[in-house]
Amino acid sequence: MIARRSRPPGRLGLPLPHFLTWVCFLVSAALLVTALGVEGGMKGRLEEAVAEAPADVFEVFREGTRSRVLGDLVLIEGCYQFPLSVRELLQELPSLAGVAAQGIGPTAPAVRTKRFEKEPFMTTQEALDFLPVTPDYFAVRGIPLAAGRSFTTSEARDGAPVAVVGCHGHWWPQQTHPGDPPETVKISPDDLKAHEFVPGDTLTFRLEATSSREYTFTIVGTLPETGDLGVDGYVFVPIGALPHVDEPEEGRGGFRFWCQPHGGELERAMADVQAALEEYNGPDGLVRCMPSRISQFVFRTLSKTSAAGLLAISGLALLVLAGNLVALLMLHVVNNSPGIGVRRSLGAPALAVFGEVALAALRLAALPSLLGLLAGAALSPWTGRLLGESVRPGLLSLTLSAGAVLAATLLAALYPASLAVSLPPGRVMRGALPLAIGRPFWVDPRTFIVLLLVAVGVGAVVTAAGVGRGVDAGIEAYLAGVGEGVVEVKTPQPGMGLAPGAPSAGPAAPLPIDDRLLARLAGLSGVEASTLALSMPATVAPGGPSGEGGPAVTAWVAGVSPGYMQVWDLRLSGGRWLEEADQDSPVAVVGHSLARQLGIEGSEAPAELVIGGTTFTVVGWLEPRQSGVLDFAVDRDNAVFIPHRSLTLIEDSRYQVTSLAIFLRAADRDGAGLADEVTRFLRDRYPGHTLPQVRQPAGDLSQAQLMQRRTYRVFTLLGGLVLAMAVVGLVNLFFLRTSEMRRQIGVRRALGATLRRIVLRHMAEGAVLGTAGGALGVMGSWVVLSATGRALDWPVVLSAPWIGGAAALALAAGILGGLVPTLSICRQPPGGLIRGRTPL
Amino acid sequence: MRSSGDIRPTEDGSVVVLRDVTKVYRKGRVDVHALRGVSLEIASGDHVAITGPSGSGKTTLLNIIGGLEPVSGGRCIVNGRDLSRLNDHQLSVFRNRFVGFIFQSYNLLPELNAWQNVALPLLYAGVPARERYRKAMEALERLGLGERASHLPAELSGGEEQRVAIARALVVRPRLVLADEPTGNLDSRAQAEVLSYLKELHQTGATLVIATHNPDISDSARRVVRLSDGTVVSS
Repeated sequence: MIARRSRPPGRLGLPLPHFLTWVCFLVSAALLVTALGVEGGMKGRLEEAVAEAPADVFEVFREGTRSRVLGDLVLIEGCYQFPLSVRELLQELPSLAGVAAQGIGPTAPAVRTKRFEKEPFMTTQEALDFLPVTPDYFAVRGIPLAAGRSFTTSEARDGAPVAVVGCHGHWWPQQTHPGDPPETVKISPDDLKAHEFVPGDTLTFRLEATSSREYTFTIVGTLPETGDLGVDGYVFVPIGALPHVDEPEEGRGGFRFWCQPHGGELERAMADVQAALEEYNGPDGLVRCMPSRISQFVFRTLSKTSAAGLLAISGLALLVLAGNLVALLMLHVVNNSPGIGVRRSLGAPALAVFGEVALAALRLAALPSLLGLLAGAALSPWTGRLLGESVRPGLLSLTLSAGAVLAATLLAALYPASLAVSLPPGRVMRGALPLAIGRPFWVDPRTFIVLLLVAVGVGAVVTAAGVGRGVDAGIEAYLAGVGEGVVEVKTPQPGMGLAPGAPSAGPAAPLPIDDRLLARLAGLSGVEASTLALSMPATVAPGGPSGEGGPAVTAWVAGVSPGYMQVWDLRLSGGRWLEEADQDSPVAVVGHSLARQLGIEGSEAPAELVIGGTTFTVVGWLEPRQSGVLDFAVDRDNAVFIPHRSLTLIEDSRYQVTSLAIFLRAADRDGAGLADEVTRFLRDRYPGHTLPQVRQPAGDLSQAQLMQRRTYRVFTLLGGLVLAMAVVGLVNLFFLRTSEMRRQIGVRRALGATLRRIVLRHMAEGAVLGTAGGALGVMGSWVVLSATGRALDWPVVLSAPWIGGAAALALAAGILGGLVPTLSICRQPPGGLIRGRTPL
Repeated sequence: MRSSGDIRPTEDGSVVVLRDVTKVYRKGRVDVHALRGVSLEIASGDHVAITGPSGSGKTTLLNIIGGLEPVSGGRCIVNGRDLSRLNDHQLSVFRNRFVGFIFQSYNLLPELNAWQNVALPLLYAGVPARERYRKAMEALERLGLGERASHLPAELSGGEEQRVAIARALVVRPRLVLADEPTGNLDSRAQAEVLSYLKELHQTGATLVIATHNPDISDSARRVVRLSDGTVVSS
C-alpha cells in the first residue's frame, strides 16, 4: 500500500485525520472538565436562586456521598443520615438566636414499623408507621390540621400521656360528624372501624420488639390531605415521648430539621444552625441548610435530570472519542501490518500487539488530553460566561476527566489489536488487513463505527433538546395551572414550604383579610380580577330527592367571590358560576370529580348538596382539571365552591376555615409587578398593622423554569459538541478510506472517470451514512425520551427543529465527508496516485 | 463532430509530439528531475519501444503522453491537442476515448470481477449496461478469458490478470495504446502470449508505445527510443 510504504512504523495515521482526532481529544478532555465543572456551577446557580428566593422555612440535612461524583448537586436524595442525638439537638436549636421555631421529623429511612392492636375494633394486628416529631412540626411545615390540634409542649415531655396525630389517610374515610349520613363507608371494615383516629379517641399498641409492654395514646388531631408532602400514611407522636423511636440506630435513618427564622432573617438563621451543627458534628461539617420551598420542587425536578444528563453527555462524548480513535487505530494497524506480522511470526504474544497499538493511541492522546484538561480548567470563567453558567472544575473533575479519557483510549485499542491478531501472521505480513480496498463502503467495519458515532451525536442533540423541552413543557403546564399573573395576599402563616415570610412577632394588630381589603386591592391599577377565598375540609353528601341514599364524601369547601373563576381560569362544563346576587344564598358549583362521586354530574333536575347540615343548590359543574395543572388554591376537581358569605350558613361548628386569602390576577400577567404594587399599597395604606403576606404562587415555578432552561441550553450545546466530534469521525473515515483507495481512484481516473463522477460517488456514500446515522440517532433518542419520560413523568417532546437541524447537519457532514477528501485526492494527477508519488 | 477517438495527426503525420518536455517531482525537500527537455515525435500507427534503466523516466514519459501527469515544462501535443490546455473533464474524456493503458502491475480493481474491470472504460464512456457486458465479454473471449469473466482478480494468475488489463485497454478500441512494462511480472509463456496480443493490436492500426526492459519487445518494435537520466539518448 502506498501509505504503508510512505509511513515509518509507529506513526499514527495520516496528517489530517491525525490532526482531527488530536483535536477531538483536546475537545473531549476540555468538555469533560467543563461538564463536571458546570455541575458545580449549577449548584452555585441553585444557591443563588435560593438566596434570592423569599423563604421562611429551611431544611438542614447532610450532604450525600454521591457528591464525590458530581459535586453536591445530587444532595437531596438519601442523604439525611447523620448520627446526631435528637434530644441534644432539641436543647441546642431553640437557643440559637436566629431560630424562631423548629420542626423535627424523621425521613423515610427512620420510620419504625410497630404493631398495634386496638380493642374492641381490631380483630387483627396492623402495622403502622410512627413518626416522632416536635410540637411545632406541623406549624413550621405549614400543614394545618384538619381537625383537633398538634401536641403541646407538656405532651412532648418524657412520661407524659402520649398523644398522636393521625394522618389524613387513616382518618378521613372513617370520620363522622354530626349531620353526616348515618352510614359511613369504611375502607377496611375488618381492621379499621368507625371512629378510629377521631380526636379524643384512644388507641393501644405495643412495640413489636417488646410486645409485652403496651402504650396507650390519645388522638389529639388529624391532618388534612397533603398530597406530596411526605406525611400521608403515618401516625405522628411527640418526639420525646418514646425513647425507643427518637434515636437513629448507628447513623442509619435520620432526621430532618425544618427551621423557621426570626423576622425573616433566613441567612442568619441558616448560618446559626449550620455553625451549631458543624460544631456538634466535628470538623467534617457535613451539614447543609437549604430553604425548603426551593427544594420542594426545584431539586425534585432538576437534580435528577441534570445529574443524569451530565453523566450521559459526558459518556457519549467519550464514546464518540473512542469510536474515532478505533477507526484511526485500525488504519494504524493496517499500515503496520507487515511489522506486526513479522513480530507475531517471531513469537510476540497478542498482548504485545495490544501494547503496541495502545502505545500508539496514548502517544496521540497524551498531549491533547493534557492540553484539553488544562484549557477546560483555565477557560472555565470564559466558558461559564459563554454557557450562562458558572463553571468551577476542581481537582476531582480534573482527575475524573483524565481517568475517563485514559480508559477510553485504552479500550479503543482493543478492537484494532484484535483485528491484527485474529489473522495468521503470514497473512498479516502479506497485507491481508486493508479495510477499504476490495470492499464496498457498507462492509467496511469502520463504516459501522462511524454510523454509530453519527447516531450518537444526533441522538445527543435531539435527546438533550427533547428532555429540556419536555421538562419545560411540564413546568409550562404547571405554570398555566398556577397562573403566572396571580398574586396571593394571605395571613402570615407558613405554608407547606410555599408560604414566605415569618409569623408576625410585633404587637401590631394583623390587617384583616376581608371584603373591604378585597375591594381596595381590586381597585389597584393592573388588577384584572380578584377574589376572596376561604377553604376548609368538610363532609359533603347529596341532598334532596335525587341524592337520597348517595354516598357522603370528604371534600374541600371553598367560599369564594365571583371573581374566583376568572382569577384561576376555571371552566364550566354545565350550569353557571357564582354571581354577586348569590353572596348570601346556599348555592354551589361542584368540581368535576366530586360531582361524579356524588352522582350529580350534569343532572337536569336541580341537585342539592348537604354540607355540615345545610343544604346547598348546585348551580354549576366545573370541567375537569387538565393534566399537569397544579392547583395552588383548592383542588378544583374535588371542591365545592360556594359564596364566601354563605360559609356562615353551615351549621356545624366543628368545621373550621383553614385557609383565608385574597387572590388577584394581573392584567398583563406581570405577577411580580402586581405583587410589588400590592406590597407598596399595603405598606403605605396600613402602616400600623401587621401586614399580610404578598406572593406569587407561580414564583417558584418560574424560578425553576428559568434554571432548567439554562441547564438544558448547556446540555444541548454539549450534545452539539458530541455531534461535532461524530462529524469529525465521519470526515476521518472518508479521509482514511480515500487514502487507502488512492491507487484505485487513480486507475479509475486513468480509465476516463471524471472528477465529478468519483466525487459524486463518495458524496453519495457520505450522504447515505449521514442520513442513516441521523435516522438511527433520532430513533434512539425517541426510545430514550419515551423511556425516561415515562420513568420521570414528563412529556415526551421530539423537537422537530432540533431533529431537522441535527439530521441536516449529519447529512451535510456526510456529504462534506465524502466531498473534501475525495476532491483533495482527485485533484492530484492520476499518474501520481497510481505510483504513490504524492501522498496525502 | 469528430469524436475524441479520431486520429488527428499533425501536418507531418505525428500523433504524439513532445517539445522540450521537463518533469520535476518534489520528494521531500528535494526536486527530482524525471525528464529533462525531452523532444519526441511518434507517428500515427507507429510501434515504439521506450527503453532505459530504472529511473530513466520511461513511466513518466508514458504518463505524460497519456494525460496522467502534467508537464513541468515544454509542450505535449497528442492527437493535435496540447494536453496542458485541456481542463480536467477534457482530459478524462481524452483518456477514456483515445488512450488505452496497460500497467505493469495490472491495476485491476480488486472488488470488481474480470468483465466488470474490462467494462469500466465503457461505463465512463456512457455505454449502456447490456452493451458494456457484450463488449467486455467479446474482449475477454478474444484474449481467451471468456470462462474467467466472473472471477475476481485475486482468483486469477498473473498472466490472466495482465490479459484482463489488456482487454480493458482495448475494449474502447483506442488509437493510442500505452503499455508500461506489460511483461514485467510475467513468466516466459505469459510474456509470449502478451507479446502476441500486442502485435495483433498494432496490426489493427493503433499506435503502440511500450516502455520495457524486455529485449524481445524492443526488438519487435518498429522504433526504439532510449532514455537515460530523463533525456533521450537515441531515437
